[in-house]
Amino acid sequence: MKRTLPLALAFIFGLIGIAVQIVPALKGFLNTMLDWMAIIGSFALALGVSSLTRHHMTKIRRKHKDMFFSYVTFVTMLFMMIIGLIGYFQPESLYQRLFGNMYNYVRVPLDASMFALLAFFITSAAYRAFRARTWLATVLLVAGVVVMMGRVAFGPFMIFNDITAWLMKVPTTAAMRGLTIGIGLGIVATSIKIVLGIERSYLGGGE
Amino acid sequence: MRKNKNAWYEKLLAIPKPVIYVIMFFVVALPVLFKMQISTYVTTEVQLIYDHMEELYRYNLENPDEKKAVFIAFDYDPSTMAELDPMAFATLRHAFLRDIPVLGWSGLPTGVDLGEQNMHLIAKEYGAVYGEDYVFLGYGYPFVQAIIALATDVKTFFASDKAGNNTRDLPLLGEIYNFNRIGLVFTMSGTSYPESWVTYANGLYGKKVITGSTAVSAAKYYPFLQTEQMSGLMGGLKGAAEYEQLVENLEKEIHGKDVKTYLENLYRDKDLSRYDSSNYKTGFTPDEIQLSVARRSTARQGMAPQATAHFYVILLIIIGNIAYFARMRNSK
Repeated sequence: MKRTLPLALAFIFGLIGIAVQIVPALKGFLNTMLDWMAIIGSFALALGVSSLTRHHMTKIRRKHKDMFFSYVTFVTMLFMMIIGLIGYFQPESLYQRLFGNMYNYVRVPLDASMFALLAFFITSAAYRAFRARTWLATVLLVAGVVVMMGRVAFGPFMIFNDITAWLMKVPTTAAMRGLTIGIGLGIVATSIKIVLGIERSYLGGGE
Repeated sequence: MRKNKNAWYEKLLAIPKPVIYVIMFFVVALPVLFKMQISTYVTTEVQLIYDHMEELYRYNLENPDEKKAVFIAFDYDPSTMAELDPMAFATLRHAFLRDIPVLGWSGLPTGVDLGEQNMHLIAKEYGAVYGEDYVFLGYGYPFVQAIIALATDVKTFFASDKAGNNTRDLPLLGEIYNFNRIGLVFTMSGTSYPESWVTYANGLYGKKVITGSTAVSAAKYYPFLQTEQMSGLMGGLKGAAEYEQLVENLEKEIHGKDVKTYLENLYRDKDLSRYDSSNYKTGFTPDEIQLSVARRSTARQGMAPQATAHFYVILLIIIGNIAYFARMRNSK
């Protein structure tokens, strides 16, 4: 039952999902389905918090060597939740300002710094790994250099702008379109497998 | 293969990482410190965005009782704000300059505060009134369902806005509450959210979708641009700099070249009772004016360090390859 019911539901609603798109008489049911999606989707948030809590509780219980970070996760999560909730119901209170400050002066610089570190990694990778070992690698390297020049082109380098525009609009578009079509076909194939119960990994377990 | 440690190419290949990093730091920091700027050119994909906004402005002029809004999805978080904030600023500026109503939300929980702050920040520079000229709805979650809610009545999905106001009490949402009165959809994101906007807002409801993306993500959106599923694309800081330049030219046409005087006088003859201080405080301090003027060229100021960093990386690639091939030749 634990596996049969979800499989049956996936089959029934999968077929309904297809039917509402192609049978005009069922169009009215589409909005009802979308409302259901909104409600069910909201539970994902609660599920996320519960999974995170369970994961870190297990780490603490087993005295994992990194359990300190689990405590950090709990403390920060609860702290932000509490001041956020109180701040929401008490506008312009200390709690709301604290929540704003935590976001502006802790979260923003941390996130921005993490992303900024990419500049250093790219520099190191460019120097140590970006080699014209094969002709394919050479094409990639030359295209990369031209696009980098084109993105900041000025004065005598303006020719790189035109080449970059062509690279983006012709070869990149062609390659990305191929990829997108491939991904789309993959999604259709996987969806059909889920509806027919062939693909069952979403149910969990090792099967 | 025996290495000749004294060979010039071995020395080049053995440059320690910290040295490369420190040079990178200075390469980025010096143009910022010396306030270097490089001029940029406008690409067709950014010009398209500007033209669509101007088209919307003309539509609103001809139909003052049926005005259409722009919808801005701040689908980014602080990690990509260096590239995407300037796009959001320029878009908001263009909308407020042309008196186009603005609705907005964020599809990411960490982008909600960012989106709200940006809206108030730029609205203040044009005296826009919250609830009448612009509304920030909050967190559009679940994302796809939130987009679909825009097809019927967004007020049923958002009973209250981010600030907790009842959406039914906001005059702007009384008139503009679904795609029928939304002329353009902007999504600024470093994620794959723009693809969802294309699928639903454009695919299902035929809305014009404009994307602002990080430079690394821009490549994947070119196919959508060619098929006109996207009506414009700002890629990375460069795209932001182009749009910023276009909007600045427009602002000079409308308000004149002296931004400082314009800001100083902005609230002089206005009815201040219309402004809620919880959104922003009317009037500007000298520091705020200075920041506001600087904010108008954030992306263009960022182009100089980006240019020097690109040249540095290219130089490293060239040096690395020369040394690599020299080593290969000598080992034979």
